[in-house]
This record gives sequence, structure tokens and C-alpha cells, in this order.
Amino acid sequence: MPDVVAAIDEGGANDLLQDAAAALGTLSDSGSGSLGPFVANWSASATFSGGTVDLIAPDVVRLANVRMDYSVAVSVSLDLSDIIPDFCLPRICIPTPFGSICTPRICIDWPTITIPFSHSSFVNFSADFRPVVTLVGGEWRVDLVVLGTPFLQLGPAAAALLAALGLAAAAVLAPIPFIGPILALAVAGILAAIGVAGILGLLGPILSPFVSGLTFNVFRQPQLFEVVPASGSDAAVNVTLTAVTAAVVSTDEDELVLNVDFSP
Amino acid sequence: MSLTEAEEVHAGLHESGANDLLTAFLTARPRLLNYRSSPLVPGPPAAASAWTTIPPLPFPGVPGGIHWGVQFDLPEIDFHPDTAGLPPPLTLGAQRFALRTTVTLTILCGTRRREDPEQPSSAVTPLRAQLKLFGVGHANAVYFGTPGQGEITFDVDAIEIVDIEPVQLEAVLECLIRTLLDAALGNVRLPLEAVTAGAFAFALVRGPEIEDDQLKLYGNVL
Repeated sequence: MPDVVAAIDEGGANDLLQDAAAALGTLSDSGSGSLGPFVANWSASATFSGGTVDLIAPDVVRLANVRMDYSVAVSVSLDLSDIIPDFCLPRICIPTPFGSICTPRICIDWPTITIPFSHSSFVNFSADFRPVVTLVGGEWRVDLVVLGTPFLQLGPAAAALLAALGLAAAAVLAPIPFIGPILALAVAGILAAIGVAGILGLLGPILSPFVSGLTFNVFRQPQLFEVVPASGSDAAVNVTLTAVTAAVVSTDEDELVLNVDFSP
Repeated sequence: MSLTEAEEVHAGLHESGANDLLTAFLTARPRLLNYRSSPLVPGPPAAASAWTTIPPLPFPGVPGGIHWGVQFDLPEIDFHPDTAGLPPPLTLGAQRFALRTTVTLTILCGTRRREDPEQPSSAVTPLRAQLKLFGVGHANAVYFGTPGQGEITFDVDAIEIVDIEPVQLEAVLECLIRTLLDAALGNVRLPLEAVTAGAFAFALVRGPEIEDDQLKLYGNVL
């Protein structure tokens, strides 16, 4: 028989997971990836909340409808010449009584532009987690670690992000000389070159790591566990946590059970 | 039957764990086991800090009173049901714990100077008696203002010292020692967090309940 048996039911586990998600705080990452034919630099952040716990013996904690709120900021550099063809205004000569007056030949070489755009939204997902017990650096932890990579429905987000890209591109292109008449064409060209598939190709690899490595901590105590703090001339009272195990136990209720042994 | 029953959180402290906590507590704070009115009451323990100083027993005609000491061995607790065995007439009822320990009573025996001029008054002889004792008691929850904050305390209801004659002397000693042991054990206060080893902070709803060799607490997540 363990020295301590601590159990929590599904209702309590729901509350516990909300606290664990809040304690997780904001996760962030940055990097670069393919955005259609272009390379984009990105930074992203995500927070987690919500979800409903279903405890499944012997070791599965299923979370349904977890909400991931995220923000993605993307910056893509592209050579407009890849989107719209360069062109030249031909030399035009006008004969006059004094001779011909000619305009110079003017060639437009479209510049390379950088388009920053961002998008914030949320996505719900469901995932199975497994309790994992570790003793690292003198600290016992019980973490709920996600199994596999949960599926994220990113279609609507990709469409929204593509629209944000269109607006940002228009804003960046507008000041460029001579582009006025073909602004809409240029934006359409950029969006067509990237497309929803291109956005998904970027967004998926950005957001998936946030959930594929998702870990919620439900127990964390130093191996040298302080029972009573020092007080006055009295020393602190400590015990050593010698073993910790975690499992889901099913009786007439499903419960997450921690067993702890200690020695004086 | 689930562990949490109608509540969200359950914590069960097995008697082996309770004894580990008691051992840790009383080893770190030995003054809760050792009481004396004078350093002439011999140890072990040797360290003065391991003793609680108590007043001598006053008595008219005894200058400075009668010096004495009381020491308890580490008590061993057995939560209901009784697995260690209790001597009659003690029985371990529901929601009760049994304990066993040894008490050492010491008295500094001296002779008054005017009756025996050859014997210096400071020459005292410590006389010691060790008595094995058994007891039964119950646990209490003490709540603080902050939800989830509280302590478990232990009260001694009765003790039994076997094989003391006459019976009246046994009754006197049992009353005296029960009072002393109850007071000593009253200083042992286990925070709720210790009973759960820090898992699942909760507001206590039920307990402490003593059954199945465990001290059980029930509550809801904070």
C-alpha cells in the first residue's frame, strides 16, 4: 500500500487541466518556411484553454475541444518580377519643325518587396494524453504528455490568412511607381502564386509543433518534500519522496490516481 | 467504489506514511518528545536543544521543587482496523487510531541537607522508570482562513499501561501520562498538503476519516 494515494475525478481533473493550461502560459516560436514558391520568416505564439476531460483506464487522459488561441506574424520577401513581367516603355519620337523630339526608353524592373502580415485566431482540437512520471534534478513531476500529433482544422484560418496577405500586399505595392494600373493584377498574382495550399503549407508546420509537444503538468514536488517549514528555532521537517506513480483507475468513476511513497 | 466518492479529490494517508511523517516530524523536533526541569535529568539526547524545559514540581519544604523529566519514544500509529493489537480494556473503535510508545519518567532523588549534613543537596540521583504504553485517539482537522489551508492534529483519548499494581496507581499513572502524551502529540500538526504529498490542492469537505488503515480526506479542487 502506498504511503499516500491521491485521486481526482473527471470533474476535478477538468479544473486541474484548466489550471495547468493557464500555468503553461504563452508558448512562442519563430523560424522560416516555405510560403508557396517563396520563403517566409515567421513568429508565432499560442495559448491553451478549455477542453473536457475524459479519463480512460489504464493511462489515457482524453481532452476534447481544447482551444488553442494563436497569433502568427509572417514576413515574406518576393521579387515582383516573378509575379508580373518587367516591361519597357518604348522610345517615342515626335517629328517637329525643329527635328524629332524623342522620349527615352524606360524599362520597369519590378523591385523585391517585403510583405508583413499577421493573423490571430483559434482552433479547437482533441487529443489523448498519457501521464508520464519523471524524477529530474531532484524534482518529481507528473506530466500529461500528448500522444501523436492532433489534427488541426486550419482551412478557415488559411483563408483568413490569405486575405490578410492580400491586404498587406496591396498596402506595400501601392507606393511603387507605375504599379497603380496593375495593382489588382499584382495582388492577384501574389495570392495565386501562394494560394491556400501555400498558406497551409506554412501554417501547419508553424502550429502543429505547439500541440505535438503539448504537456500539462499536474504534479510537481521536490524529492526532498517540506512537510513543515522551519519556524523559530525549529528546523524544517522534510521527508524524501521515494516513488511516484500515476494511472487512470476505473471503478464506478474514472479517476486519475497518484501513488506516492516517502521515507523520513 | 471510487476513491473520491461524492467529492472531486481524495487523499489517503496510509499508517506507514503517517508513521514516516511522525518520525520525520519528531526527529527534526526532538524537544516535542523530551521534557525536563533540570539539565541534571540525564539524556540521551545529549543536546540541550533536544529538550523542552519544564518547571519543577513545587512542594512546600522542598527548595527549588522536585526536578523531573518525561520522555516519549517515537510513537507508532495504527489506523483502524486494529492490526497491531491492543491490550484490554482498550479497543480500537471506528474512526480511531491506536498508538504505542514508551514513556520514561525520571525524578531527581536527593536528600534534604538538614536531615543529612553529610549529603550535599546537589548530589541527586536520577531514578528512571520506563513504561510501555498503548493508546487510542482520534484525528481532527483545523481550518485556516484561506481555502485549502489547514492541519491535521491528533488527540489521545485513552491509554493503557499493563501490569501495574495496585489498580489505583495504574489509574493515576495512566491519567498523568495520557495528559502529558496528549499535550505532546498536540504539537504535531500535519499540514493538509503533507497528507497529499502536495498533489491536487483542494478545499477539505470531509474528513479526516480513519478507516482501511488510512487517514482519508475528501474535498473539491480549489
